[in-house]
Order: sequence, then structure tokens, then C-alpha cells
Amino acid sequence: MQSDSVLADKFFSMSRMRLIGVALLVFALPAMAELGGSVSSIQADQEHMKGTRRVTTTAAYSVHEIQASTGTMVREFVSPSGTVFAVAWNGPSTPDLQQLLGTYFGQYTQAIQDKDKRTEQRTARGRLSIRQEGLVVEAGGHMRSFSGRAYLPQMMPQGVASGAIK
Amino acid sequence: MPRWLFCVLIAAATWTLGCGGGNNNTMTGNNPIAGPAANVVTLTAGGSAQNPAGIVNGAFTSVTICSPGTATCATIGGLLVDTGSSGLRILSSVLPAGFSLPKQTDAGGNPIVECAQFGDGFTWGPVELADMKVSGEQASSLHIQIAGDPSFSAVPASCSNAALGPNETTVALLGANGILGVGNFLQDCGPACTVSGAGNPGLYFSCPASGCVVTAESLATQVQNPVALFTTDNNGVIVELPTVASGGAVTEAGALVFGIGTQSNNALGAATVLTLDANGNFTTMFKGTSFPGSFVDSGSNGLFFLDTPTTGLPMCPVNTDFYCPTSVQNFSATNQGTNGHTTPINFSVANADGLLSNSNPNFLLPQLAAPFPGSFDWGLPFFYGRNVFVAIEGKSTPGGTGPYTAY
Repeated sequence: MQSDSVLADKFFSMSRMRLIGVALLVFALPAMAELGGSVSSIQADQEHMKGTRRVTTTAAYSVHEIQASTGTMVREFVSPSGTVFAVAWNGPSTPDLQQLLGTYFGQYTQAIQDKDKRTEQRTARGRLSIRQEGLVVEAGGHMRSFSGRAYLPQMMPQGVASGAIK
Repeated sequence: MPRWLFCVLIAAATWTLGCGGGNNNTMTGNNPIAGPAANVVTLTAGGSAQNPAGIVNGAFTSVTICSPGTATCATIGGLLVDTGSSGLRILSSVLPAGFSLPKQTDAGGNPIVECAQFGDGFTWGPVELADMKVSGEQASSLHIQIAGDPSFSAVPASCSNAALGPNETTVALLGANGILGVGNFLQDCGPACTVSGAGNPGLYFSCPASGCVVTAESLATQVQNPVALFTTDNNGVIVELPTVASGGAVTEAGALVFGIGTQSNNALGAATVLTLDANGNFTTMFKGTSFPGSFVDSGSNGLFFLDTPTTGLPMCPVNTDFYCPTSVQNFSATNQGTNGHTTPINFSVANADGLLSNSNPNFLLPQLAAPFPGSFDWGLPFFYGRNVFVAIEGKSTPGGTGPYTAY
């Protein structure tokens, strides 16, 4: 991560994004938690998705974008301390969320089960929304086009709003 | 105002008759609803026997399925009409006892079982063949999915790992007895599922006794858009629902019309054609920003768009997934097809906690809205009072070749 004289600036601006290159990494790392994991865990995601990776750096965070072989794009947002605090995706199919959400996949699965125990059937069609203190997952779409994001509110870098997670 | 008064005023103001039947079209709002015809089936929106799970903002219909080439048939109601998917899916639990259809198998005789993802969960079950009959139309030897078949209870990890909700095996979980997918595509998966290897998104599985494995499935044997297999009226559909008062309604009747420009009741008229990208999406422009990846979807039961920071709409304290402005908020947006054609849309958002309270008897809630980060999912409220044309990929229509949305 580059430090930057405008690190103190609290507002993210698209104009500060600098492309620093395309990486094709070939060595394997053990699969570990992605969301909430370290930046080194993104390599495991890339291997899993058989994709190529592009990294974009801003003042407040970096975005590692992987294009999976299915055509789905996955973006992992890394804080200055090297933690993946958010992920987002869009494409023909939803990525492997057990891989992508890592240690948060269990919480995600439980939240879905808890939802269905409530009388949500009047309201449940077309999209997913899980909003917990420690985990937010919002996703939806239709056949051939799914999108979503997951982030850890407590790990968002200062000045980064949820609107940047896409 | 009461509907009868509205009808009287319309009849007085125009030469068109037809409030209450006795004619081919019924004027409600500003969109004509087709009367009974060989290419028309009734849509029932809202609370009714066609809505067994009691979901809000759903439109339902019935079809008859027969074992191919036989008179062994079952009529299945409570099917959610879904322009966002392609294919007929019926819960195993709602089939009559003893009713069975032939299964699609692979070259080794193993059943083909599908994992079909939706925005709220998935359906898992075998691909089977049926003659599907609806009004005067028939799709012969149509590939459909029987969801939640207890003979196939083991869900592969790759299926559940990509899920946005549960395995929808019951009426309560699915929100309907089944789904009638009449969207823009000929099959649910398409070319991506016909190839082996990492590019295959893994919808179709061959399931020998040893366990299910992802398989390449030819276009002809994937779950198909039933409309595309009709002998006529097979280039798309029109979803026609009447206007719903802003405060909501309990139930309304509309029409699902088959074909675009093939009969006297399915002309495009003044509808604007918005062509779609390869994923079935167009762009919505809102507050000066473009949001590609937007779409209309009768299977979504609200207006789902963006998020609190972009819209200024706060989240609800009770129904925490929805928007809760303190008073009704009015918005404007513009939808643009890949062909550059644009249409303006005005829409409103009300307090969802108020709309969804147990004291509200209405199942049709035009102003129900929730976040959908990054784009617009124009769900069933978009269809109220607006005839929406859904053209199938590669099919010729007077408005051009599909896929497109027009209204």
C-alpha cells in the first residue's frame, strides 16, 4: 500500500485511483478467510476462481479485482493495514461465497436460516439483505446477472463509506 | 376514487367501452388489459388462492402439464410469473400424488439435476419433460425443473455455496407453488452451460448413485423458456396489470399475453423498445449518475434500488431490509436501452414499516422499496398500470429482434 500526502483527506475521490498493474500470480497459498482475512489470502481466491487479478490503489484502500473464468468480477477491498474489509461482485453467477466470505460464511448461513424462521415470506422475493452489526451482505439479481457486496462495518477504514463498496 | 366511477369517467371521455367486460379490452389506468383469447391467460396479483404463501407484490397464473404425448395431466396454479428467469419450475410437493414425468438423463442414463439460483435462494431438482398447455398455447416436450424432489435431497456444495438464500423446497420458502419464467432468454443457462471446464457456471449436474457432478448440458436439454416452444405467439410476452392505488390493493386481475405483434391483442403500439445487453440488463439514470445492470423483473416484489447514501432514504426500524422515509418520496429516473432509446419513469417510495404492518390488508404495495446496491431492480410495482413487453433473444418482432424490454 502506498502512503499518500492526502491520507488525512476523509473523502474518497475517484480521481485518486491509480492503476498499478496487472498481476498473474502462480504460486499457491493455503485457502483462508477472505473477508476479514489478510491481503495474502486474495491469492487463494484467485487460484480458486482461476482468474486474473488487477489491483487499483486509492488513498484509503486498495481494490483487488479478479475476473473469474465464468466471467464474474470479484473485487476485494483492502485496508491500509492489509485486511480485506469488503468484497463485491457482479456477473453471470454468484461466486463461491464460502471461499469469499471465509470465516464469515457461517454467520452468513445462520443469518439466512434465521430470516426464514421469521414470517418474511410476505416480503422475501428477489434479493438478499443481511444487516448485522458485524456483517452486512446485500445481493440480488436475476438469472445470468447477479451482483452483491459484503462488508464488515467495524473494519471500514476511516472516511470510507459503504457507497464505495461495489 | 372508486373503480366504478373511474370507469364511468373514462367511458364518457373516450369512445372506448369496456369497464367490466363484454369487450376485448378493459380500460383501467392507461393500459388496456387483454380479454380472454387463445394467447391470453389470467394473471392474479395480490391476495388470492393463487398466492398460497401470501407474498406481497406477486402475480400468479396456472398451467397444465402432461406427460409428453399423453393425456395424463395436472393443472398447477399458484405459479409466480417471473420475467427475470426462464423456465417452468414446480415444487415436487404440489404435484398430485402419483403424477410423474419422464426425467432428462445423460448418455449414461443418469438423471440431470439442476441448481437454479435466484436473488433469494435456489431451486434444486431434476430436469423432466412435459407438454405444457396454457390457454390455447402448447409447448411440447418442454424441459422443466421439479424442485425439492425428496429423491434428490443431497445438494452439492458448489450449489449452496453460491446461494443468496435457502434451498426453496416448500411453498413457504419459494413464495409460490412454482415459477413460470418467461424472461428474455431461450434457456435458463444458455451457452455457458454447454461447455466443460472452469467457464461452466455449474448449474447442471449428472447424478449417478456415486454423487452429483457438474456436467455440460446441451441447449436442447436445458430448462427452456416455455414461450419459445409454442408453435405461434412464441417471440415474447406482455405482462398486463392494472394501476394500483398508491395506498395499495388486496388483489387485481390482469393478463399474461403470449406473443408480440402476432395477434390483434399484442401489438407494441406506442411502447418504447429498450434493447438489453448480453446479461439481460439496461441502464437506469438517476440523479445524474448512470447505473448499468438495471432491469425489470416481475419476480421481484418491490422496487429495489441503490442504497441509503445515494437515495437519502433511511432504513426501517422494524422491517430492517426496507426503506422507511417519514413521508412519501417522489423520484424520477430514465431507463436507457443499449439501442440508446430512453424512457422517463416517475416513482414513489413510502414507509415500508407502515406498508408491511399487520393491520394493512393489502398485498399489492406500489410504493414498497428497498436497497439494491449499484443498480435498479424494477420489480412488480413497476408493472402496475403499465403493459410491459418481454422479447426473447433471437426472436423477430415488429419492434426488432430480442432480447428487449418495451413499455
